[in-house]
Amino acid sequence: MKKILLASLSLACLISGGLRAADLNVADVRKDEDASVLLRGWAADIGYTATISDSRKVVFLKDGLDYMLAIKVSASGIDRVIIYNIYKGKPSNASSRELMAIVREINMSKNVCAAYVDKDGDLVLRFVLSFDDRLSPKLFRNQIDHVKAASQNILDEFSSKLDPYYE
Amino acid sequence: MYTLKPFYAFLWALSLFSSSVSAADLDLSGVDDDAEATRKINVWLTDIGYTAKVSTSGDKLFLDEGDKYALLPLVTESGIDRIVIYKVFKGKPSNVNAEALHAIVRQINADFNVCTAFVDKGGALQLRFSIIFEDKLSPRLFRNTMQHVKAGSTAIIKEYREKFRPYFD
Repeated sequence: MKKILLASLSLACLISGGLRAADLNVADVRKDEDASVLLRGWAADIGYTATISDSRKVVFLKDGLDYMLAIKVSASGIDRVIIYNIYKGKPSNASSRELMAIVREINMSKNVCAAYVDKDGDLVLRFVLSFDDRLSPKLFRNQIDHVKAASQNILDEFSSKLDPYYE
Repeated sequence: MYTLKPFYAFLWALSLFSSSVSAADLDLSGVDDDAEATRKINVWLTDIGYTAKVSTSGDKLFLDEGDKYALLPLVTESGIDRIVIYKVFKGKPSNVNAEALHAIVRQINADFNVCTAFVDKGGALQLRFSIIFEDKLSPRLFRNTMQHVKAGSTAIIKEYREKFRPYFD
């Protein structure tokens, strides 16, 4: 009986280890570029279409929408995946006061992301997912779904105001 | 008398150690009400050494770390929960219409990928951070996030101190 109990304990440890193998693990990674390579491979393993930039600084992810991901690792603190959802706009947007007021309203009323207009006039929605060395597929997938839903929600709510600025 | 073989003794000790470590995690499994989450988080914060207070509305917490922070828990049935952390710098009501200040805030949002900055309806500058987690949150991730919030806020204020001077006390 005791042997069965001990064998079950060992099996539970093995199963637990097996499940954890699917997590993204950046515990021993010190450079963001190396983490990007890991992130790209891991995202592909869990079913996303993922490519990496030549500089290895960002990962491009496809999941209905196109996302740009940057990963920041830290030896003692927290690691972060930053997810950008970018909407192409006109260069003249960068100096539009009316558009800046809309973006301010988004930042004030939506507590899910940071919105800003970049120097090319594109609207950028930036989401941050922090983790402690290991990132589970469930949390990552959920965050990507959340980014998709939240972005759509923002676009729906502000569509009449944003339409003149974006294609 | 039965004695454990060294390998099994090691596994047993490991499982004990593992459960004692996870016991200190915040566990919001089965909680899908923000007010209940707020109460649980308050108890957990006290357990891990923070001084926090629940707001009278019951939906947020105030954390005193020398600097003060507001924490807003948001839970979901899917098990993915968030704590949104706000650092607020009181400002003049006239800030709401200060175009030059809004330009600075836009620059912060474009340059710093750590938080969202905005000027609220009362003219205060708010910096908003968040932690997203899957039902359980470790003290280590929370503490590191708070360090990150403090460092991020300090870096932003330091860089824009002179430009902010006309708008904030």
